[in-house]
Formats: sequence, structure tokens, C-alpha cells
Amino acid sequence: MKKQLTKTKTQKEPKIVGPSLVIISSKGAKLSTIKSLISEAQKKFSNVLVVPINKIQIQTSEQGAGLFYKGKNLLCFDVIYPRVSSKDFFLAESVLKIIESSDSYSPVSLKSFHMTNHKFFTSQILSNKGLPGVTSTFFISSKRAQMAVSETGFPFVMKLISGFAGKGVVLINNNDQMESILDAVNLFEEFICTQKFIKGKNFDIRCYVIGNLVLTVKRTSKKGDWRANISRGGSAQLINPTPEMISIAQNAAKELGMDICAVDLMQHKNKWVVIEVNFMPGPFMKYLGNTIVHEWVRYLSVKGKKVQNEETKK
Amino acid sequence: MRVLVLAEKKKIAENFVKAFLEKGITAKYLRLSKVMLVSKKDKTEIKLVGSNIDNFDAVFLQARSSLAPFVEPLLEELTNQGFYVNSKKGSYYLSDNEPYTFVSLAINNVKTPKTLTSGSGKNIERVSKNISYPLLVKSFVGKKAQQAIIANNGKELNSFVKSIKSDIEGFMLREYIDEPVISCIVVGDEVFSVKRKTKDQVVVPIDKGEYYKLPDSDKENVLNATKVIGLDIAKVDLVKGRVISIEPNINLKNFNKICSADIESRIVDFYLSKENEIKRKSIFSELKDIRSIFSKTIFGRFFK
Repeated sequence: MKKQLTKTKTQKEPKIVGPSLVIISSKGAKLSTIKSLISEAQKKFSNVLVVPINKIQIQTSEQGAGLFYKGKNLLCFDVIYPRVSSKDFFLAESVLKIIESSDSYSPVSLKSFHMTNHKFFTSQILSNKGLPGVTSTFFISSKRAQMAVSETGFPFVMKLISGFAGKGVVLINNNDQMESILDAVNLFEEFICTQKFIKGKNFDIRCYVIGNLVLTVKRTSKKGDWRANISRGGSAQLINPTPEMISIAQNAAKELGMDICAVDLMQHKNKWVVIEVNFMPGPFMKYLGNTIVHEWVRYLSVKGKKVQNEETKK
Repeated sequence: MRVLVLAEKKKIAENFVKAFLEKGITAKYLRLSKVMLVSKKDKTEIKLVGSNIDNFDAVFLQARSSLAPFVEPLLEELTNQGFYVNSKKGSYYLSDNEPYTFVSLAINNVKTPKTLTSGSGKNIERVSKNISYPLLVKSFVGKKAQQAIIANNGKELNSFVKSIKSDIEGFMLREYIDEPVISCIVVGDEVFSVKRKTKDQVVVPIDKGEYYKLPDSDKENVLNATKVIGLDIAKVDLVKGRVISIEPNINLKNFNKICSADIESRIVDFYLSKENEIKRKSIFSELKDIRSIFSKTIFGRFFK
């Protein structure tokens, strides 16, 4: 039987009328996104609370486990939306585990947190399920680099996973470049993920999965940058998704156990392949306004009402 | 049965390999760094330097929990491909993060000391009102404990928190029980225990410990803990019947001597007890191979 401290604490706290929402924010959360989430959520939820993850108190005892913030029991809320990143790994694993064992609804899972914060793990899970991806390798000794090259060929993208967080991506074109990068890697205990480099056009596609809805955005990179990254000066616009994009995005989200996420796609040999799945996607407000945030909140409120109805039945 | 002993160093693996060979089981050591995972199209392959994973039926893994980012995808693949492994999927993530370990144990009714975790040292004294002194207080950088003290009151707790100048992920406060630590090696349902006294709040090393017969209720708690974490073979520490740590890496040198046991040999027996399970999996894998061959022929639609 699921066990949480909430069972005993719930009775002592004032009853919340209407769906209630907690947004657990990352240490590096963008203020504009949080502000927009609050403003949209206040239209649909009777009680909205934003809690920075590092301010949460995690309690465990023989009675179970609970999450508290300034004396408030967070598991009393109908919906909990953790917007956390690999920077929050130390606390996020515990927080997500406790949420999973509670009756509150969350659009993301602990499994999805582990997978999406690990480039190779994402690729492995999706490939094993037959979803189109990019050839990837994963190893812990730089001595395996040549073996990896025989799988991906040049150029390839190298990502170092140090302990628990990604440490940036490097594009490697030849042996000389690889050797100089590996010299630095040898100094530290690193986990090395390499991926065949896909030379796309100057854009990629981001599919926002929100339940059954898929909103698709074309992201165009800044001239000269091989990454179509908005924070690096690119741009974004909503487009109509093809059935292939919808199917890939929805299946990827399903396999990773997420109701809300973003699946990044690129075109390779006339097929769309998954490049990355985002646990905490940004809503591109500069280009899309409140569109994405509005849909997130709408979906969460529907789920919140369901939780409330189930609670009433009990 | 053919067992691949995967470890970080040969020194760690050699006694296990010897024990398998002595009982007539094919066993081979391979350094963990000689493993590479490759994901492409619709499958993931486990590539070994100088060997082939298909030459084995089971894997005995010995690696530090801090290698979780590498070990977890490996466990995923070994399990998917039907190998028996002493560590289950998720067990390395679980044992690599102390607060996460305690949360999982507590949710699953394993007896643990009361524990509080917070990402911030601010108001730590107020937080500590939910727990009784003395406390074992640890600060974390990444997932690693950086410093630890025993605080007897709020003043000591505050001064510890204030003394930390570097960037930290958070603090863990745990009820400190000043009793001997019982260190256990778990092999399946068997538990080998050593009692380690404390001197000035410091636990004596294992080699200074003594044999201890674990009461049934504590044994049940230990076995429950290893099941929750997903480790068939593990080291578990207890204080007053409460689990205080659990790890996948085991060092048997002193345990064998103090418990008058040959634990390596018991591990081999445990693997042998899994043989039927492994054989069933091999048949299943062969069936899968046949299915995969036929799925590429004109009969493909019958095998999807």
C-alpha cells in the first residue's frame, strides 16, 4: 500500500476548495516562465503555489515520506508540476519519488526525469521501442573512443555526463579534434556519449506534447550555428505538424512516461528522427506568447478536476 | 552457466571468478571500462573489448554506486536481453543518492531513522524542530556527502551550516542513534552480520568487529531493504534495527573471517539457484531470435 505522511497531516490542514496546483521550480528557473504560469494558472486553479525545489523539506520516518514548504503539506494539492532540471538531481529524485507515491497528479515521472536528463538513455529507450533516433554510443573510458567512431563515423557530437549533469556538447570533425578533447576528458571521471552528427538544414522541429495535443514549432538557428537553439539567437514559429511528427512525439512521450514534454526532431534522409526529449521545456514566449503556457495550464486543470472528483468519491 | 564478472578492477573481481571456477562454472572477468553501449535503429548492443556478451548467461556486477549514469543504461540492456544480474534496474540510481534511498525505504515500510532533507541551510534550525537531537548532519556537493558532524543542539547545527562556504546541493539531518552499527552482507535471503562498536561516536572498522546473530525482525527489515533497492547482493548497515545505509559494492575480506563463512561460495550457490530462471530466459531469447528472422520474411505479418 502506498504510504505518505500526507495521510495523517491532511486532516489538520484547511481544506482547499477547487483544484489546487503546486509548481516546483528549478534552481535555474526562468522568472518570465514562472510568472506566466502563475498568471495563467490563477484563471483555472483556486490555489496556486510556486515552490523553489531547494526550499522544500523532505521528511522520512516510519510513517512514510512527505514534502513540506513553510509548514504546508505539498501532497494535499491536486496537481504537482515539477519543472526541474539535471541541476536539481540531488533533491529531484526524492521529490519525484514521493509525488509518485501520492494521490496528486503529476504530468511527469521519476523515470522520465532519469531518462531525459541522460542523452544516451533517451536514445536507448526510444531505439529499443522502434522510434527513429540517431546512432549513439556510451562508455566510461576514453580508450573506447575509436570503437565509438567505428559506429558513428565523423563528424559526431560528443556530450560529457559528469556525475549527474550534462556538461555541454562538442562537435568533432576528425581524429585530431577528438584527441585534444579526450586529453581533457582523461583528467576527470566522465561518462562519454557520442552521437552521429546529423547535418540538417538550418532548423529543427520542437513538438510540445500536452496530453493528446501536439503543438509544433519550427526553430531556426542563428546563421553559422549548428544548434537550432533559441537561447543562442535563433527564432521560432508555430507550424502544422505532419502525422509522422505527431506520431513520433506522442510515442516518445508515452515511452518515457510523460504527459507534458517537448520532443525535438530533425530531418535525416527524408525521415524525422528524435534528437532530444525535454523534461522542462521553455515555452518560447518571445515568439509564441502565452500559447504553450495556456495549453499546459488547461491540461493540468482538467487533470486537477479529475483528482478532485476522485477525492470526493472517496 | 557462463558468468561475466564485471568490476572496476581485477583485484575486486578475482576472488569471485575463482569461486565460480571452483564450482565448475565458466566465469570471466572484464573491466567495466571495456564495455560500450551502442544504440541504433531499433536496438541497443552491448559491446565488450576482447569478448562477446552472447558468450554469457549471467552477469555479476561490482561497481561503485557513483557510476550510476553508466551502470543504469547497462542494467536496462542486460535485463531486457534476459541476463540475470545481481543488481536490478534503478538500483544504482537509488543507492547513489542518500535522501532518495531513505525516501524509497520509508515509502516501502523499511525501518529507518527519521530523516529531513533540505536544499537550503536557511532556517535549518526551524526545520530541525521536526526531529530530535542528537542529529547526524551531512552537507552534499552533487550527490556526494561533503562534510558530516553530530550536532547535539541547535547552536551546533547552526554553526556547522554557517561554516560551509562552498556551493552545496543541500543538507540531510538524521536522528543519530549512539549504538553499535551492524554491518550485513546480503546474498539472496542469507544475511552475514558483524557488530561494530562505536568509540567517541566513531564506528570501529570492520576488522575490529565481532560476529553477530541478527534477530529475525532485523533480518526481515534488511531483506526488505535490499528488495526495495533492487539488490540481490548488497552491504547493509543497521543501527538499532534501522537501516542507515545500503550499497551494491561488497568487500568480503573481513566478513568471511569474522562470520567463519565463505561468502563468495554462497554467492556462487545463489547464482546456481538462478540457473532455471536463466535457462528459461535463454529459450525465450531464442524464440525472440526466430521471431525476428521470420518477421523479415514474407511471413513477417504473423510475427509482429
